[in-house]
Amino acid sequence: MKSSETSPVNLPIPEESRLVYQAKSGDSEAFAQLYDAYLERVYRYVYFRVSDDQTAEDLASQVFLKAWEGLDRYQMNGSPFVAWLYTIARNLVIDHYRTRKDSVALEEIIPLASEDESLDEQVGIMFDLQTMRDALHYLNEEQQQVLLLRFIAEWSTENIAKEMGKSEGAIRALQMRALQMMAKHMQERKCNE
Amino acid sequence: MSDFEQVLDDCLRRLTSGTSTLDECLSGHPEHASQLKPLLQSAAGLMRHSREVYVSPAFKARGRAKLSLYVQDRSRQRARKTFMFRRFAVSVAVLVLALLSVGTVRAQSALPGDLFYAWKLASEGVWREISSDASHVDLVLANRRISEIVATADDPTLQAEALHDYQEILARLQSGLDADSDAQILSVLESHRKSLKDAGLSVPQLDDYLSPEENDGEIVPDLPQTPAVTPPVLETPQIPAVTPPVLEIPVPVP
Repeated sequence: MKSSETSPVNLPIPEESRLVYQAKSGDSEAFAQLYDAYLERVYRYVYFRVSDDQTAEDLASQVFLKAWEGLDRYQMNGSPFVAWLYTIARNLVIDHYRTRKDSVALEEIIPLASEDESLDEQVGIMFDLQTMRDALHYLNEEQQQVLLLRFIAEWSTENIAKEMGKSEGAIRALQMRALQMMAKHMQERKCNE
Repeated sequence: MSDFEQVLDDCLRRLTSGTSTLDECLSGHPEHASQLKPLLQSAAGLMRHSREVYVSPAFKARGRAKLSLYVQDRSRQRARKTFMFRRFAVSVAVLVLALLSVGTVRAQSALPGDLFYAWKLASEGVWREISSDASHVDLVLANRRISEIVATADDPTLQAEALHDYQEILARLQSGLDADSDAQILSVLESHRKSLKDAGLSVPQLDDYLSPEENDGEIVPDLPQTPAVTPPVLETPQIPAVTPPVLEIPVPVP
């Protein structure tokens, strides 16, 4: 892992529609292009919902296998393709927690750091990331979903409201409570150090 | 929405769009700064750290290979399923066709009251519908009904059923009579009458279609005889001859 400092760029809608249409017709190469375009977003989303990188990678891969499997059910005139992928990812994460317990040691979840970062920097980044992950795990499912869609997927409040079937006001309220709980947890963690 | 919620929402929007930094947001709302700071830090931390999470090229390549294998395997499975389904569908179709054929053949010898009799009538209906010569089919069907009437002579109920169907066919034949088919139909009906007579039966409606010459007089038609009507003789009244009166015109005397 290293800081890429870039946000994934959305595929232009006509391009995405063309690829989805081709993939729905059985074109695996078109689906591979969708994989290339959206893997990072899906991975980031999953990463903050689970405790270790290996699980995040497994689940992110599974998202695309499930997507290929259920591509016939995806409505092209409905929500964007990436929103559908997030929905699959969310369900997989929920299933993951239902079916297995997390008992991963900290050293197992430390991701690979790039060679140009000093050890202190690497440890600092890993620590911050883990703190974020832990703090997120204190939130309930809806609160996690709102924060991840808002600050990791970088969706607008309006789109999150549509995706979650709530009013924008309800999403803002959820977002505020989630940030308050997260801040409180991080504060407590700092005090304990 | 409270004032604080509005401020928070505004700051988050500016943070996510990159138009303001965390410090700029806080300095813009000093009255809420202490409350805002931990929340904005959390949000900014999430955004910043999410960008530190990236997919390694090795994982991407592994995932792509896995996906490719999965897609190929699924395609094979799907092709196999499609093949199996087609084979199953063809087998079912052949079986249904065979059952229909056997059943239809078997049904042709059924008599009224038999299990397959309704099937026989249905298959005859289909035959008549798709045939280009419905009159010819009707003649064949009429022959069959006659055979059934004779065969069910000892069961009046079943015989009545066959007779009813025969009468329906007769009605159809009557409506289709023309110069070309007349002779052929009448000769078949004559043979029916003979068969019925041999079995000691009589169908009154049958005699409607046969000329008196063809009727050998042994089967007495049950139809009422229409009495001969003699046209009334009109007696023209005698009109007496009228003699015009002679007018006497006085001649003026000059």
